[in-house]
Amino acid sequence: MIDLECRELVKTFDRFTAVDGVSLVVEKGAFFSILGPSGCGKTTLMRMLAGFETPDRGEVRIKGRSMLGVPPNRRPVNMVFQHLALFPNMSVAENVGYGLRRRKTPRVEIHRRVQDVLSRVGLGDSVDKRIDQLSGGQQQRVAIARCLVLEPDVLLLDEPLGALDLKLREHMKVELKKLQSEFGTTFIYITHDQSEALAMSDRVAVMNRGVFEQVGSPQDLYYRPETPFVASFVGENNRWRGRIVHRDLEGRLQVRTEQGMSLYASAAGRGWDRAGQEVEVFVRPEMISLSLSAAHEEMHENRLEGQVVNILFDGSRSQVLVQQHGSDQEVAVNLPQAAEFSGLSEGAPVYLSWPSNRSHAFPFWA
Amino acid sequence: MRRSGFNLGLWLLLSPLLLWLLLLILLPHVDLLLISLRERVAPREYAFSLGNYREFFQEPLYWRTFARTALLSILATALTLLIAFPVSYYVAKMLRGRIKNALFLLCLIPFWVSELVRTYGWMILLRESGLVSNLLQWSGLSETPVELLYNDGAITVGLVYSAMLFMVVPLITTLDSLDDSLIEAGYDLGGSHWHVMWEIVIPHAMPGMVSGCILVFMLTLGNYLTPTLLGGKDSLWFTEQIYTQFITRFNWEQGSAFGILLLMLSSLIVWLGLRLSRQSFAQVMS
Amino acid sequence: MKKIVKRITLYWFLGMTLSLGLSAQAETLRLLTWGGYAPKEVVDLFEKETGIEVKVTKSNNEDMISKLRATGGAGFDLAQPSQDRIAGAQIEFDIYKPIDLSRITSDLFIPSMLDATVRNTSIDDRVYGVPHVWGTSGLIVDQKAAGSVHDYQDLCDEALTGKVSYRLKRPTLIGFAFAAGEDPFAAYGDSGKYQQVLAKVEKLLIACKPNVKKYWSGSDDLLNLIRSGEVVAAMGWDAGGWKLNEENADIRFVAPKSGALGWIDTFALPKKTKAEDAAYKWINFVMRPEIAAMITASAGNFTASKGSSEYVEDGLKKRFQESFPSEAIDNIKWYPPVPAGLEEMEGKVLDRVKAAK
Repeated sequence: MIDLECRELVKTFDRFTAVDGVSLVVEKGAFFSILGPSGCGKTTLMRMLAGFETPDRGEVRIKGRSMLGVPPNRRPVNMVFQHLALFPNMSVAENVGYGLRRRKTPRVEIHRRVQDVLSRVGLGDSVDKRIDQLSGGQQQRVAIARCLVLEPDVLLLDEPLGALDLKLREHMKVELKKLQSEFGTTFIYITHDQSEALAMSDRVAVMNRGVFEQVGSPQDLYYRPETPFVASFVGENNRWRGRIVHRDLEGRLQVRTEQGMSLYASAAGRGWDRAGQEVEVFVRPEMISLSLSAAHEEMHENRLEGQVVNILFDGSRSQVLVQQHGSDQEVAVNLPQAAEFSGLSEGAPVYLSWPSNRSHAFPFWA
Repeated sequence: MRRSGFNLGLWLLLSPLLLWLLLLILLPHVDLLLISLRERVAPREYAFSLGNYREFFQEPLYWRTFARTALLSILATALTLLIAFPVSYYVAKMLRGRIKNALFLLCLIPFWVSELVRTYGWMILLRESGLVSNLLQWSGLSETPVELLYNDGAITVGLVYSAMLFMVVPLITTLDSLDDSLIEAGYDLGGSHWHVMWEIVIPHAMPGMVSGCILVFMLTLGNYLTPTLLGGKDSLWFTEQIYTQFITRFNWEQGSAFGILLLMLSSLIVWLGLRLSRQSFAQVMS
Repeated sequence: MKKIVKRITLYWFLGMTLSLGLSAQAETLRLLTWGGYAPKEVVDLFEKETGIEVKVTKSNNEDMISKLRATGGAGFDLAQPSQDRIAGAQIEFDIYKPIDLSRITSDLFIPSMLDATVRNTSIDDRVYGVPHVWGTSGLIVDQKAAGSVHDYQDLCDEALTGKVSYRLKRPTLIGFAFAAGEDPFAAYGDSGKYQQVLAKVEKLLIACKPNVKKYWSGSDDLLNLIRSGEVVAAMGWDAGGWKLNEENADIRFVAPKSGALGWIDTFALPKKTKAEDAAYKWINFVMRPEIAAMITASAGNFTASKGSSEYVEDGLKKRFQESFPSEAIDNIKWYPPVPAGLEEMEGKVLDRVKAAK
């Protein structure tokens, strides 16, 4: 069953096109994220879903019903704002009960439902507190409870974790996902943080310059990016420019980088991968295996040796910068947490290898 | 040792303000109070007395004048609020950038000319041989010249006009500080225009509204020019009474008593207003 | 820091000595007077002759007394209150200094007027005022629209509803009292009797209120009301009436049947005058017939200067004769000195009239 559908939405401000022909379909109960850098149009898109902006062209349908001309207060969607927008002059219970009061729900029922939703988000004992007496995470949950108590068809979330500190953000990711599966409401979540999008979503749309670059599962985006933008925006990357030397029968490309390193990559898309074509190649540091001897890892097509030029220590996310012998091409590699690498120091010789289908080549049109 | 040095610096910094308060505010009022508490017994001879205060409560003319002044001031304040609120909301929330600044400036422009000139402007418009009267005759809405001046309506119009700025500025400032997303959240959760206004905008703007009202009320109550010039033969404004006592009656004692009473009674009204709107003075003035 | 303080002190001293020096050099006369009593050409002539600078502050009777009372008689070197308002204010507030009649050139004055003023402004043989300008208040009437107005009470005729103006001040009370057949001046000394007279006038004025367009507050205010035609009959000063008559022959100053009210504005020395010599010089200067005539031309009223009428323009003389046939001159009611405390009684009456609906 489809909860939300957009068809060819276009929105222009003065001469700037914020949203340029976006279509999307979200199924009931899904956690759908829209991921993109700031200024990509995701907030405008969200505001059109909520009804605060009118699209120039295209249509929004919720549960099959067109939302054309329906004002925000009559749409079956609710929104969690970036800065939460909790009403400072009301208590927690009054905030949560606001929407129910607008629907002229009987007092007793308002009381019961507010109490109920607040205990479900773990704030059962904060009912009568003032908003400024709550912590950031608690305010977050009030903002969500305030929407969920209305049982909307779709809940829109506009970077709600943006204002929180790192620790709390990590915690709230888990919390949000849990709440979503508990309530079963369709979530549409806007963020510029790829880890939030990947961790929580069923499906993610990567948005850039007003259009969707790719829509898919987090795994699709991560392992099979379809555009250079998606490849570079989702996860970390080694990014090299080069030229196709040869294309074999299995479709593997042999590429030579500008620095002179030679590697095998798989082509994204078809029809352009002729020899001599200029390309960009993306390889994630965590896809490359690092070893101190040349012995194993025979099965990977890409093999090279070099020496450590720098170690960037960051706990579990530590990286090593390796310079290839001969070409001087620098490659960033994740540092495994195994004991054998603990003594690794600058200048040490190392061996790198990775499979060709983990390096993605995109045509580069100069 | 260091502490006392710090204190000296603080006192030096505060001294202009303290001197100003002492010399220009406190001392004159103390003097006013002392004068109000004496009575003339013979030429150049005075004795302590509460007679001037008794006079205010015993002579119906005086306290009726005060009551009338206070009521008309409250009415003018309410009207100012009613007119200023939509204007301020429009400027603060509906407009952006240059137009916003231009409109804000437009609200200030009438205050670049003196109150006297503005009041004469109204007199030219409203008098029997004035612009509005001529316009009404020309358009055939009236057969004879219409006198729009010299009544309570004219006083109220003049007062509202001259006080508008002092309502608009605090209102725009507080409304400007209201996060747009709060209003949007109000709509998003199902609120109508009325609900959003009543439950979100007005509670937020309350301190601005109350401080604007206090300013306007005090200014209106203490206004002399507008009621006297526009009110004509029935103006009966309390400040006019004070002026008369001081200047034409040479009765400084009575005038001082009226001055002190005006101060106390208006403070009382403001205090009641704060109680009714559940605002604290510190909150409103911040 | 010290340097700055030193410098500021230095400048301050410099400034003070400079300003003191300047003020000592160019003598100034600070004159508290009525509009038109010190026209620019007279001030210029005086400055040329004596080198004394004249600073003019325009005022009225109540304002003069209030200003001098507030400072204990300082801030001005010469004032010009009406003769009836001097003795009472002096007894009450001690704001004037006696005048040395030997320093006044008495030949310049009309003797009867000088005598009367000296008598009215004396306390314990000390003289506080000498006469300058005199005039009357009566009725200013648009003959076409309100030809039937001959006395103050005629202002309350129903036909004139909303078309009349007068001041809410003591001359109005006095005028209406005479018109009602009372003699308020005779009752000045007897507060009980005076209260009765006032009560009668109060009733009259309250009943007359619907006729009032506006209580006028100043001469210009009144003239504008009459010029615009909004007011067709008013109680006002003769000079204003003559001025309007010059512009529009229908408007005339009429001496009321019960008598015009005659006033004399004087010269009086504020208690703390700083330029007494200059003040005497000014008095003797402006009382010269040709100078007095210039003041008459500017103020619209005649002066107590002997022989100045020769220099007065004929038009004004003619208008005066029209308004004042000889029996009307004899009927002028000259204000006697106001006893202290009377103004308070009158004030309450005026308040009640103002408050009445």
